[in-house]
This record gives sequence, C-alpha cells and structure tokens, in this order.
Amino acid sequence: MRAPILIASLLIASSSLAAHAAGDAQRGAEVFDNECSDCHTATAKGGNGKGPALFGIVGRNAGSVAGYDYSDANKASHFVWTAEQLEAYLPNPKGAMPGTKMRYSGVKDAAERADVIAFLQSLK
Amino acid sequence: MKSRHLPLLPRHFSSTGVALVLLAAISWTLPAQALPSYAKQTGQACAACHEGSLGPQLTQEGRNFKLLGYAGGSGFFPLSGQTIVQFTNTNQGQEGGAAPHFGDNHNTAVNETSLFYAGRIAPNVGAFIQGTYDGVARSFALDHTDIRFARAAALLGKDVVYGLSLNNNPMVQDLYNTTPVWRYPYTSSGLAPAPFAATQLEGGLEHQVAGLTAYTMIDDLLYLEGGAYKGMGRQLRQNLGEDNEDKLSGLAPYWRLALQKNIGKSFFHVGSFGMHDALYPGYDRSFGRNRYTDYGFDGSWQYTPSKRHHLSLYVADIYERQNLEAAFGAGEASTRKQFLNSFNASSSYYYAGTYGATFGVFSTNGTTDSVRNPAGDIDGSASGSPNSNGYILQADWTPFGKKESWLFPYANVRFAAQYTHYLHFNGGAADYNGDGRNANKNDTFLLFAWLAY
Repeated sequence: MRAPILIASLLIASSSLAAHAAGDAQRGAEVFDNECSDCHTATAKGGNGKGPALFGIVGRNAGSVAGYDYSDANKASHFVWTAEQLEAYLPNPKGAMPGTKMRYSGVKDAAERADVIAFLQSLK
Repeated sequence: MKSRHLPLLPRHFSSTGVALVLLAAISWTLPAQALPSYAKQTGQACAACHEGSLGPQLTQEGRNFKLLGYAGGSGFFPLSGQTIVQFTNTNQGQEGGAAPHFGDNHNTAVNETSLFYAGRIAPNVGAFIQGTYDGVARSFALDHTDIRFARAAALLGKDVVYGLSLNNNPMVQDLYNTTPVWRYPYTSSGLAPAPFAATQLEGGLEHQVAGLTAYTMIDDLLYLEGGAYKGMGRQLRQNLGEDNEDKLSGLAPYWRLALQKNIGKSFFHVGSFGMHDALYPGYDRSFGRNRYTDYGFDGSWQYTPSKRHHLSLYVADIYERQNLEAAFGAGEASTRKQFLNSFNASSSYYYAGTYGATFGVFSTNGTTDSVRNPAGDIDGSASGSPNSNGYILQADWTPFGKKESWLFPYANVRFAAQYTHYLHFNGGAADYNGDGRNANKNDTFLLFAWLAY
C-alpha cells in the first residue's frame, strides 16, 4: 500500500517541479520588468528600492536582505523563498502574508508565474 | 449655488509658443534640489504610480501608496513644486475680459504655481500639503491638504490596512479617480466660462473645512471610511487665503465604501460615497440654513496588460437633495426643496506612459428656478435651469517620468491640448443666458504645459 502512495507523491512532486522547470527565464525577465521592476532590482549591484533587492532570492530566508526595513509580517513569516514557496506566494502576496508591506495584487497567470520564478532562479 | 467659474489668467506672455519654450527651458535647467518628492522617497518613477506618468490618475501602486499614508519607501526629501502654464481660446470672447488683467480671449497665463510638502513625516505618517499661488486671481492660498496615519496588519488571517486622514476638502483623500477632486479633466482652463451648478462634493466645502476620517481596507477587497468635517473659523480661513462665503453649521458627516478586485490584468471597483452639510449663507442666520445631502455612486476599470498599454474607464454620479430654507426665506429661491444631479464619465488610453488620449462626458441637471438662477451675463440662465452637458477631449505627451528618463527623478513635464464642447450650458443650447449667447460659444480650446519638479 505504501508503494503506490510513494509513487503518486513522487509523480505529484515531479509534475510540480516540471511546472517550475517549464518556466522560461527569458520571458520571466519581461514579466519581471512589467510587474516587479518598479519596486525591486534584480542585479548583483542593484540595491533596495521600495522593495528589497531580489538578486539571489531563491533559497534565501524571508526578511534577510541587509538594510531593508521589513514589515513585522515578513519577519515573522519564517518563509524560505524556494520555488514552491514563491509559487504559493506570488498569486496573492497579501493573502499569503497578511500585513506585508508589499501591496502588489500578484501574478495571477500561472504561466507568467512559472516564467518569473524561472527568472528569479537565474539570479545568482 | 457656487460659481464654478475657474480663475482667469493674465497675459504674461505674448504667445503660447513663447510660454511653452520658456517652460521647456526651465525644465532643462532645474536645480537639483527641486525634486518630485514621492519619486525620491520611493525610488520609483512617476509612471509606477500614475497612469500617463504625470497627474493624479493613479495606478494600483499609486492607490496603495496613498492608502498607506504616503509613507512608503526609504528616501526622504518631502518638498516638490508644480507649475501649470495655459493658453485659452474660447469660441467667443468674454466681453470686458476673461478676468481682471486679462483680455476677452486668447489668453496665456501661469495658471498656478504650487509648493508641496509631500512625503513621509514619521514612520506610518505622511502628507500631501499643497500651497498654491493662483496666477489668475493673483493670490496665495492653502490648497489640497491630506495628512495621514496608516498601518498594514494581519487580522483574523486577513490583510488589513487601517488609518486616519486629516484633510481640508471632502474627497481629497479618495483613492479613485472617479470622484470630484481627482477626476478628469485633471486640469481645466482658469480663464474659460464654466457652468454655475455643482454639488457640494464638487468643491462646495473645498479648503474651508477641516475633517477627520477613519478608514480601512480589508483583504484588498472592501474599503470603508467614515468621518466628519467642521468649518474653519472665519479668521483662520482668511489667514489661509480662502473664501469666506458660507458658514458650515455643526459637523458634516462623510462616508465612503468601495469594493475592489484585481482579475488578471484588470482592476475593478464599484463604490458609494456621500456627505450631509448645512450652511448659513454669507454667515447670515436670519433665515436658517440651506441643507444638502449628496449621494454618490461610482465605478472604474483599469486594464494594464503591460507597461506599454494602460486603458481606463471611470464613471460617477452624484445626486444631491437640497433643502434651501435660508435661500427661500431670503427670497433667493422659489422653492425649498430642490435637487441637482452630476454625472461624469471618462476613458483614457496611454501608450508607454507617454502618449495619451482621453475622452470624457459630463452632464448636470437639476431643479429649474428662475429666482435662484436668473438670466444675465455669461453666468446667467434664461430658463432658470442649471442643466449643462458636453464632452472633453484631451491629447497629451509626457516625455519624462520613467526610470530611464533624463532628469529622473528631478523633473517631469506634460504638454497637452484639450477641447471642451458644450451641448447645453446653464439650461440651454441657443441663447441660454437671455442675452443672445449660445452654449457652443463657450467651447474652449486649451493648450497647457504642466511641470513637476
């Protein structure tokens, strides 16, 4: 009984990873430019703007960019910005982290989300 | 009723071309300390918060910045300035001059020059405070003022923003570009005739009151606001350079609610707002008060598929019940109970936050009363009707205001052409004032340059 469950779990996990892997970082850069760049920078030398710098965000703990004044909600979230966490957060940031400073309504389109996550993964 | 005539402007320049060239020259030579303060504070371009990169038309980002009390971002330089230069041509001139110091027609003027404290005061506290020199009236006054406290928090697992607004003009604190203070047209001629009728929410208490409202945005979906306004003292108003026409009796309650939602690349809102106020006209208590209750309903749609395209639609209607006890008692109105309705709608498209076109319609209708609205000069109404309607077209060019723009974030400018056509003016189309003037003689062609620094 355990084997089928394990296989099913692996299939779900792999399909989730495949969805992220399907993201196109180049298209994601365009999504980032349209949706995120007013507040965030994405280069190694880019500093904090209205939002914190996002270079190297994937794998980072929430609320950890030096010099940025995070909301209490962000600091208390204990999020780690994995691709899966970003996928859960980006459709509705205020729903995922009530009280956050980021008032942005979210990347609603799943394909655009996958692309921008792929782009964020490339920032290292 | 309050006159809606906007101030008139002098002949500071011999031609519009000279004025625009001078303005352009000024914009190239602005000193570094003259900063658009919100852009400096947030590190964002004007285009992030304003559709078309300049002016009051807010994006979702701009509404959120205002909602959170103008306090976002990490920079601090809260001083800014603004200058608007206009050239006005009406279909027929205004005999005797469009205003003191101005000609009958074809007038150019520095319509207004403003200085702002605009930005953070303390954590969670910020302000928009505008002082304006009116180049037509040639006077200085405290203009729009909105001082806010706001916080975002989690409540029962929902995102909640709550705050307070201390302001001097009902609806100056509003988030949506449907309501009178911030609706289209975002600037009008200071030297063209305008219909006399307007509801109280369309400037009736503007800058003559102080109000405190409390507001909340729940789950980015439901906006609720309530509060009240009280008239400033006569001496204080004089010191602030404001008119002293009427005295507000007691408190004027104010309310606002809205439902908003982002769906895909679209933003929608529907809402309602209102106010009740009672005035002693001219501070005269002999005949009691004139009482007004305004009920407003509005909605908007903004579609932003990318930074290249911004499409917007705004609609609002204000219905005002009037009980003119004082005016009737003084023999200045033929009936006590009257009404006024004001409808406005506009739609704009901006390409790349630079090239814009806007079309708007307006319609005001109300009780016909020849005692209250007599025939006369350009202001007059032969029929006694306050009804006016027409449309406004605008095309504009805003070359700066983006992150990659030259002089970012130090200066921004818009050049625009605007045309207003009246189908009816103060109750009629032909000979509306009983003195032979047709409504379309007030059609106005306006060129303006709007500089922010």
